[in-house]
Amino acid sequence: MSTNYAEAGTVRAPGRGIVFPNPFTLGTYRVFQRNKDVFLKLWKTELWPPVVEALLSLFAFGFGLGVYIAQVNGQSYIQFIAAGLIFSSVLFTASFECMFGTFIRMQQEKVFDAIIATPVSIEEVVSGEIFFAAVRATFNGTCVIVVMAVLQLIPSWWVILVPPVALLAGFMLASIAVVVTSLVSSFTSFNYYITLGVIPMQLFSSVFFPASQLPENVRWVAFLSPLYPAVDLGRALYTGNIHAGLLLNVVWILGLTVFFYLLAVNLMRRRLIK
Amino acid sequence: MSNNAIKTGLVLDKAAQPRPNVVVEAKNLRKNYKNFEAVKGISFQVYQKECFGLLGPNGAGKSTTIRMLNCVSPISGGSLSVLGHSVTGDIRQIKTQIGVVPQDDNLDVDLTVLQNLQVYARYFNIDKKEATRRADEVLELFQLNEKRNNKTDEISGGMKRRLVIARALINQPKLIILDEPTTGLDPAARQVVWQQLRLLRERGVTILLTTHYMEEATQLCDRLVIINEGRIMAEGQPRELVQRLVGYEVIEMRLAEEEKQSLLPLIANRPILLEEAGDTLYLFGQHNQAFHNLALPEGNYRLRREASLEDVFLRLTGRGLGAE
Repeated sequence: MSTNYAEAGTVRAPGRGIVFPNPFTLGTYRVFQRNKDVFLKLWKTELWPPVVEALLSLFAFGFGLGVYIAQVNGQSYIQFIAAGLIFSSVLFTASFECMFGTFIRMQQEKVFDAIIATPVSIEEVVSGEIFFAAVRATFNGTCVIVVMAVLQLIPSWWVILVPPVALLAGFMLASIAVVVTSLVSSFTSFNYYITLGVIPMQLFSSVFFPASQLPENVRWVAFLSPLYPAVDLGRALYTGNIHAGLLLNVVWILGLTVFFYLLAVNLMRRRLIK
Repeated sequence: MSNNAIKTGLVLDKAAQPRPNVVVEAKNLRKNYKNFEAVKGISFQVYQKECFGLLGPNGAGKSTTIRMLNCVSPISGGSLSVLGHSVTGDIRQIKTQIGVVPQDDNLDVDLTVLQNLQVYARYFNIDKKEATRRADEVLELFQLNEKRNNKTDEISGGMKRRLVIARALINQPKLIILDEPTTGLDPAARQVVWQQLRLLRERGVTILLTTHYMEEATQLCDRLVIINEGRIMAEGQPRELVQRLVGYEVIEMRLAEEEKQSLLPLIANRPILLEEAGDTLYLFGQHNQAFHNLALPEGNYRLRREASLEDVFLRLTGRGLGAE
């Protein structure tokens, strides 16, 4: 039988003003389910690329570039880069899903309009989009871990905590992408964020080389990158290099996540509620 | 003074005891966008089990009104209640009980016809078994059963439209709100949609629709309001509106300037109203004998026909429905 929606709480009438929604609602899950269902219909084209991408990247960086680099911070380069590639994958998956994917659903397919005519609210639509992107990103990041496990290149059992970090980082990066999407009027504007946001984040967040290698006067660039604390934490877990300072990374990522999530929801409301 | 008191008392009484069968009530409803006023204070009521129409040209404020009714656009002034709940309150109470048919077919293109209904039902927390049962029912009703496993980009425009209407019924709504249900359909597909809407009305579903086709309004609506530039111009039953505001018959004609002058004395003593819109003159016969034995000057175009809602609109605004 159908559940009475009144039990699930009330939905505020649309209006102006800043909102602080709860991202963990049934409506959010419904939107997540919708995206998941469509994704799984297309799994033949969507599911294998992350695995192949992980293999190619590890091969190129690990066995190609790695030959010239003896060790980084006491690790073989392939192990160093593996932790970086997990989060590089999270970055790209979450960002592209909530740029192009969200934009198509919102602007071209009018899926959002269809959903907000039901008891599901616009806040729940945005949250569901972000959750879905975060889960996809985690899946793709985990593919790198699986490939490394097959190659017997996993140094620590702490690695099982990497996917939860990837989920949180994916949620944060998807929120940032939604912020961008809420502001653009066409696809081409995404180039600004890709060139000035996504690519610099990938290059300067300790993915390919430790941020400590950057010249001292530009090292702060890494600390500005929302991806940096996630890569740093993820790599520590991957290698089993556990210390109390990692809690600071967790707080750092959580703070950024809450900030960008609230910004994303409110900007989307501003765009869609007229 | 005492007269006023009685009047106020009556109004209060009415407010305290709303008619039980009022499904939608708009009072002085307004909507402002940044630098223009789309809806300028409209009031109307929709009663249970009727088909109510908002008729007007593009840009009249119809879709804006619909968006406020659907609780996706905040109202700027006045009040609006749907099924006894204000749209400024807990809107989940409203949204669970209405069915929405938008102007664009916003179906999920990657999903099949059946899956579209199942996924939509899930937004209402209807479990899969019940959703499938209801989907079977509406697919049967809208003659879409053979297409249940087709993707939605593989079916015709008319079928997509029917699927969007079927989708709006999945939560068994008490009120179904349709924004221009047949815009963009060919005449045959339009007839099918009308037939289905009449069927729904017979089943006791209250229908509120917008349209800029006067024929659609005449075919479907029990009552309607004519909207232009954010204001209500007239309200009533289609037939009654036509007879009250236009009459029975209309003659359309195009005449040269000098011929127009000779026309006025010919109709002066008859129950005929004259209206000019663009290059065409309209003679509205307000009595069924109005044109009896009338000898009109030869024009390059002349048509005598029955009066319709289009003429009502023309008389009220001085322009046709199609005019932008």
